[in-house]
Amino acid sequence: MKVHFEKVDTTDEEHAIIYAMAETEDIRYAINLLEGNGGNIPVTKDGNTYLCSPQNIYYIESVDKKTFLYTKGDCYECKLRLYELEEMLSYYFIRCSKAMIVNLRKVKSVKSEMGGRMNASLLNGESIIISRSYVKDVKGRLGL
Amino acid sequence: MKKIKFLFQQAMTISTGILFCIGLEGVCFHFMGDDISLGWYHPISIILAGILCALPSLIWLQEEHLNRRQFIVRLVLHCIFLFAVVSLMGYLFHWYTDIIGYSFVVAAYFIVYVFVWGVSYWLGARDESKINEALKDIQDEE
Repeated sequence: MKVHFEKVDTTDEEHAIIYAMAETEDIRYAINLLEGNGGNIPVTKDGNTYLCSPQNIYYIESVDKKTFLYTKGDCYECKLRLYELEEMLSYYFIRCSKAMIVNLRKVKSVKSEMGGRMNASLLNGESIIISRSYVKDVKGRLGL
Repeated sequence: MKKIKFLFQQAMTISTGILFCIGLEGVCFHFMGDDISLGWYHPISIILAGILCALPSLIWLQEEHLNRRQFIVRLVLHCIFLFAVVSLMGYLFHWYTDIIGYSFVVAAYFIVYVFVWGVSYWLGARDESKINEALKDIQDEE
């Protein structure tokens, strides 16, 4: 595949477009790498350690100084703090409240609530709250 | 920091709202054949009222999910508290001197309160629609 690189001046302008016949495994790997999803996250459940791919994470929550990662049907504990995960995860992982990060790719829809909050329905059927003070950040991340 | 920024924005908005109402009151009184004059304490009273009225808005920053009943209770308490602040500030700083003036303040308060909630609802619905549209483009397939 031909690769074309063009230098830009600001990070806001940084983006990649891939023209391909199909989204193959190699292309998926490249997309994950570019989106910052390259590294899997070490997590634990029932005393066993696993590596969790960021693209499987729906949301991350901090409860009593412990961090929990939620996938489609599972919940894992992670040693990393919320701010560390926020730094290492990709563009579409965003803080939606003081104690939660959501993967915007897993949000099915949002519903505005009185008081400025938003109720986000996830693709696995769960619902989370996007706090009033983080709605602006979410909009910014979506380019609005 | 977000709380301070939020409080500051609220205080500025409320002060502007009060200034707008006093301005409107002046225009109405003028066409009714009367005039109002502002004392040295009026501008500072508007700023103080803005700050005091912004404080109860902190209850809307709580992150927990509110059910309908909890929301209505908070809304009523918020409305009553703000009304008490506006009435007290109005009394202390002579925003009104008689029952007609007070009636004007009461009417203006409720009109502004309903208007602000109406605008908030409209802005929320607009954001909801925009976000849902943008989510479609990035959503993972299940």
